[in-house]
Amino acid sequence: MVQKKSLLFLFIVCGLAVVFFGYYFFFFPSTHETIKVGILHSLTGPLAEYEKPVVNATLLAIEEINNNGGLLGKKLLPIIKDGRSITKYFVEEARNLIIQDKVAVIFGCWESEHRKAVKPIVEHYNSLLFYPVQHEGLEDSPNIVYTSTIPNQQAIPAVTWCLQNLGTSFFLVGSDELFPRATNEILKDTIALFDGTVVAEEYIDDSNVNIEGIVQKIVNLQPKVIINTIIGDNNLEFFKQLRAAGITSEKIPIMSLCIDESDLKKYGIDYMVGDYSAWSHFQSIDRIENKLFVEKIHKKYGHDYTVSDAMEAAYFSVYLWKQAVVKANTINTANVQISLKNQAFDAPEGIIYVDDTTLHTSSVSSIGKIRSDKQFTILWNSVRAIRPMPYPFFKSRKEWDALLEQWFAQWGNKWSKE
Amino acid sequence: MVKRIKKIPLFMQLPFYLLVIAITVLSIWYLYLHHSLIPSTEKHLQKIAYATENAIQSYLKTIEKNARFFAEQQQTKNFMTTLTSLDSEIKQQEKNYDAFIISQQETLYFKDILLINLDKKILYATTTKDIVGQPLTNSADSHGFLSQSFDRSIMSLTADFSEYGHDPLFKNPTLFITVPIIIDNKIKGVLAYECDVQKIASFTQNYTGLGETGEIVLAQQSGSFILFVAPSRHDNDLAFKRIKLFSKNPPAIQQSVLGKQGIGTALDYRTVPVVAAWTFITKINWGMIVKIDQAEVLHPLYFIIKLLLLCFVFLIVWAIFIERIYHEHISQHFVWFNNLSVIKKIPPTIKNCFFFLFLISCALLLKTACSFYYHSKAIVNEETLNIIKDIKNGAAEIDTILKKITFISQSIADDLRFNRLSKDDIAKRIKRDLTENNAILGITIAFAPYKYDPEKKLYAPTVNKTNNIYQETMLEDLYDYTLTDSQHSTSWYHKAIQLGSVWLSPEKHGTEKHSLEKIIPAAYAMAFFDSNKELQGVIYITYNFSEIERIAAYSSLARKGYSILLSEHNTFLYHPVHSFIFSEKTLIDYAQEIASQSLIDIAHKISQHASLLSTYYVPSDSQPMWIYAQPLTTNNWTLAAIFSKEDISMPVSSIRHNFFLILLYAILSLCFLCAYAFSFKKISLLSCVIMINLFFSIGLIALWRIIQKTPSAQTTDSTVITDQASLDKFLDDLFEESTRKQEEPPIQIPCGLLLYSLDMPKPDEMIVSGYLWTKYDIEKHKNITHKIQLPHAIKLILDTPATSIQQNWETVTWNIRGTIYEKQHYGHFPFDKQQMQITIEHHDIEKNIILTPDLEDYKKISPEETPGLDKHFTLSEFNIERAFFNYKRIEPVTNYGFTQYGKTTDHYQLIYNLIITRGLLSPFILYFLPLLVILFSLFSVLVIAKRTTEPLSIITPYTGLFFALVLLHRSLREQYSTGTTLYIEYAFFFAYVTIILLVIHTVLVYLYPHWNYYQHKIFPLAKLIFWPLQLVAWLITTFIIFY
Repeated sequence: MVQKKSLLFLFIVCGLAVVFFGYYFFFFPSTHETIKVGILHSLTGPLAEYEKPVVNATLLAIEEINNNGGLLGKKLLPIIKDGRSITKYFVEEARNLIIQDKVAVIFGCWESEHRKAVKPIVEHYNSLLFYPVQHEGLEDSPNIVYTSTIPNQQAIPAVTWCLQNLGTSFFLVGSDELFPRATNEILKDTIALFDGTVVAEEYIDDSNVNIEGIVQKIVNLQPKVIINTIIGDNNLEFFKQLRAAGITSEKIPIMSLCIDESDLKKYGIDYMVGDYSAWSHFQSIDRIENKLFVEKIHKKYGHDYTVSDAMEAAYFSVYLWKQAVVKANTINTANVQISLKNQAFDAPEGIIYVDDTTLHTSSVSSIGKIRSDKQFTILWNSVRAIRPMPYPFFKSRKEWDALLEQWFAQWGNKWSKE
Repeated sequence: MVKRIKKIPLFMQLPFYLLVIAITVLSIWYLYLHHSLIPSTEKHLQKIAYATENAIQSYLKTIEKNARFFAEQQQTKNFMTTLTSLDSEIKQQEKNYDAFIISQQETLYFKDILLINLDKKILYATTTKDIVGQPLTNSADSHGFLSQSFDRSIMSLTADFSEYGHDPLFKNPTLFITVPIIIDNKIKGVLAYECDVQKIASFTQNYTGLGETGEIVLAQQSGSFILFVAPSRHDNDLAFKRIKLFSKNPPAIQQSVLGKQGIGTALDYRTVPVVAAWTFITKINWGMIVKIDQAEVLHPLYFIIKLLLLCFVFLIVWAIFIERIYHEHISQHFVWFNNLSVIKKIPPTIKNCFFFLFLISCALLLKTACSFYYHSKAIVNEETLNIIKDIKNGAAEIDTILKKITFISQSIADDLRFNRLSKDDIAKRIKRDLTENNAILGITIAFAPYKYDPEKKLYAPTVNKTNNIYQETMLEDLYDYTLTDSQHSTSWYHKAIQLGSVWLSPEKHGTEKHSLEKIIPAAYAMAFFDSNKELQGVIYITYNFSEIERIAAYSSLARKGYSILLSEHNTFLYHPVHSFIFSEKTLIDYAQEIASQSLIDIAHKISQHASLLSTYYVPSDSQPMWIYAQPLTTNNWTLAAIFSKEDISMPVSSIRHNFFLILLYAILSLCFLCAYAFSFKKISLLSCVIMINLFFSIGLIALWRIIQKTPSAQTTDSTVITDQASLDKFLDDLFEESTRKQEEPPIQIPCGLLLYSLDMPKPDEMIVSGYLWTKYDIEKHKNITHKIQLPHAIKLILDTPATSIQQNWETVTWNIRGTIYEKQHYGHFPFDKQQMQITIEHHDIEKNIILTPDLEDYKKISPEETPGLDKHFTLSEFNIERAFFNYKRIEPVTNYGFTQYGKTTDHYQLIYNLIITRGLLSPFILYFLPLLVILFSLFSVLVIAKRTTEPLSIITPYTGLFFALVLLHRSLREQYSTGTTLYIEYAFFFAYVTIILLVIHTVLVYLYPHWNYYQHKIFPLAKLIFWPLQLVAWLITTFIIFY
């Protein structure tokens, strides 16, 4: 009798244990499962020095999300692929990420050329790409979220600010690539809109570097402002030769659209201090969110680490995607595409959001003046984010596409002259 | 057990099975709802939030499309061309355009259409014609949201939504869409489309699916505030009310205005717990929250708990019924459990229910004590870290301002050294730097003698900025800066040459905020050299120090806390007591003044510019004070916070709750231990009862002590003024609110009060005597009546005022005597605390006047030092705890016949508060002691009485004691007549009940001598349980009233 009672007692205890554990696992599911996310940037080659910090910013956001309980009860697992600074590897690795690794999303690409090459892949497999770099616009895709600035958020405010504060005659100089070409095309129309003049437009390509000639032209034409869209190391030479020719920032100020804090760190400020840059994010922006972001980067990667606009965009890209997934309650691309629309985030630069028609993010526009401590003094900002306008109204979408095709053909079916 | 129950008739078994099934079902239902109710409500609310957001977004898209439509219309372009070309046909064109616009108004939902040219001048407006010709205001103070939107639209060539807010031109809250107008590839201006915000708000007024308490609230971020933009279901006046961002208990709406989406439980703007879903409305940057009160959501749970309790009660009733009727001992059904081999092995000393109860009480005691200890420690740590973070952020902000100044001087010096700045461009360059940096007031480049020009001794171009107007001067024309001049301070030049660079503190005079004037502004001076390192001169930059003061002052510290800014020489650059600043007092001077050796040591460490967190003791104060100092990196200044640990610790109410629980578990543990000892015959029943009485008595005294030491918090909608910083902060907010509402700036009238006596003859009256004074600026306040009033006074005698004039201020002082209506709350008597309030108003209520506490005229302003009371001021029955001024926010119910009434200042009343706590000696002697005597007498009669004693000889003393009790109670009620029951009265009620029970007991003993159970069990027990019952009743009552 007693044994039977003991068995009954044991049975009740086991039953209670089953109920307890069942309850626990039902309401507190395991977080051992993962969601794979792709990071596609150059870890080798000439672009690696620009793209590695962006990878780090992406990884920081992923780590934060994982530390805060993950996403949909799962941890994010970053799969990092090396684009090797070459377009064909970007294409290859994007395909690998989607087909082999089955990632839910890709964060990456650097130059417009890479993005344009990866675009058909993500569209074909209906995947998602978050692109964190400033670009020329003139493009949209339901599979790409453009999280950095386009001309109406960077170049146009920069030029209108110059028109209001520095002068009305402009010298446009840039690298012979898609971003400078397209941006200058837009800027020429903008300057004309405000009755300004473009005294000359010059391009530098690596096969034919004629900076001396350009500087001489500037000396001869004496514009009020130089709009600089030179990409990469040619910047240093350009600034050096300008200073050698006696052109100081007081005499002819330069508004650069491709020089950020990392460039100042790399090139030094001897030739650049006093000139201007336009970005949506500067490390010196006086916002608590920005200070926290910079602090996090410094804590993780060292106090010498420079925080750039692309890093900030890469960081909040991950959060925008996370929020969209939470809203959709799935990582399915079709659902996330819908929930991404109007998704907002209190980014270091200010509150930004994904435009529901173009999938470009709105961006706060800021003008900064280069300081001797390799940072920028913010002279103007738009207070609120400016909405994206990928196809400026100067031309129809068809006309812009035709112009792009023309350049593509002109550069031998490539997106740059190199 | 079931087997034994089967012996009972089926109809009697049925309730048992039904109750067991009901309890099981209810328990499962409870568990399910407990985990699903809030998440399912959150999801439901999220759906409503997304649907409402989508509706608002599509409306915004539509109106944006409409705005673009207008901007692109040929009629608009033609009319804009006419307006900008000063065409003579403007009138005719305007009529045509009016007709065009009005024809579209019905379908395109706008409130107003404006056409603005590139100079930001309004050229055309549909409905508010009086603003035509006016420029858009750009001032940061006046919230030029339309102007900001104009800039964004022009600079990005994109349509833009402005911020929603009061527009100085429209004198109303407005929301605009701005679209650039482009004619023939030239930009001509901007079309501003005023949106109908009511339409947006109307999307939030559908409460379908939101139950009885649900609502949708819209808000936006406005500086450091959350600004509500539409009325809500619970508050029709919610629109344009503000709450501070990042407050201690942030409302859920904060998440949404910061661009976040989410769901969860949080507090709402009413500080009511709610279940909510929040989202962000892009384009207009509004936050939206959809919420239902948590109480409504959890209502089904409470219902189930009630049902469960009812089932358990029925089960117990059923068990008792079965035991009594069928003599089935339910407890015996658990015998099988005791027969289990495992249970049998446990020794009987452990297998005792009192032992288990003792263990459970001990465990609860330990758990509560540990969690209280760790929780309070965590709160102190967190608050300390928050203060450290605030100070670090403040220091970083000040550093940023100072770095900008050093950067500017450095870059000018570099440009001069490397010939990047030609001497002809100096003025142009200075102007540009002044334009780009609002904090800078003026720049001088003072060349050393003959360095600018070998033929000219001095050259010092100076540009100063005042109200955005630039004034160019040559300093050398005013005085020779290279000489030591007593009239003009030239120390900047010499110190900069001597030290390389120097930060100069602002020199001030005056003793109070309204007369604090800067003789010499804060400045930075840096020597500059040529490429051969030969001295060329000094760059001298003056800057606005008020921004630094603001950062230093507004660190979010606790009630007693404040922040200070120290110069490199340890003098106060900022201190809430302004006299410390102008007298150039150092921290060491202050430490010596308060005779605190520990603070002297800290001051020495701070002078070495190290960051530190330390404590110091003030001999006059029992509480240690904490100080955190953070040196700035740019210069040797230090920003520090001084705060009391008491004020950053756990809220007093939580401390009281925890102490109460700890005490309860301790009493229970000891009582169960006694019972356990008694059950094993270790102590006698009498000893057990005496010990339990002792524990209860000690517990009761301890509870009273806790009540005294942890006063309940005052929760009033008011701003307490404890120092100049808190007053400045209040006034800044008031001025900001006033500006936002387009009102004239409030007129500040300093006002003070000194009380000589205070008496409370009635529960709703106080008689006061003392002095009241106000100060008037002879020039600015000449149209203001020099009179003050106490609106709550029943009778007031204001003697002819004494007046005195000092500098530009006239002080008017009245001797006051009068009776003021003041409701006192006696509910907690004798542990009550009274807040005596004297509301002060200025006579000219129709004018925009705000009375400000004249803090500078009080020697000590900390509430604990009771400013406003004469040093001989005493209250016979009370101890004075604190005295302070506060501003109470009120909603005027009438305009007193003045149409202008209802301004921002009319929503705030200045109140002088005196917090007093009752001394316990009088109530103890007058009421508590006699009550104890009565109870002891009753107990004595009970003890003496025997079963054979004549009942009337027992009842007679009971009756006599009852009359004594009634008389005592009556005298208490006469003294403290109030509508509520006093705490001490419960003891009287228990005494009444005790007398009734004793009389019944006496009667039963007399009438039923053969009722053995009563005669032999209850009769002796009554003596034993007399005191435990009294004490338990008091304990429970105290616990319930004061918990």
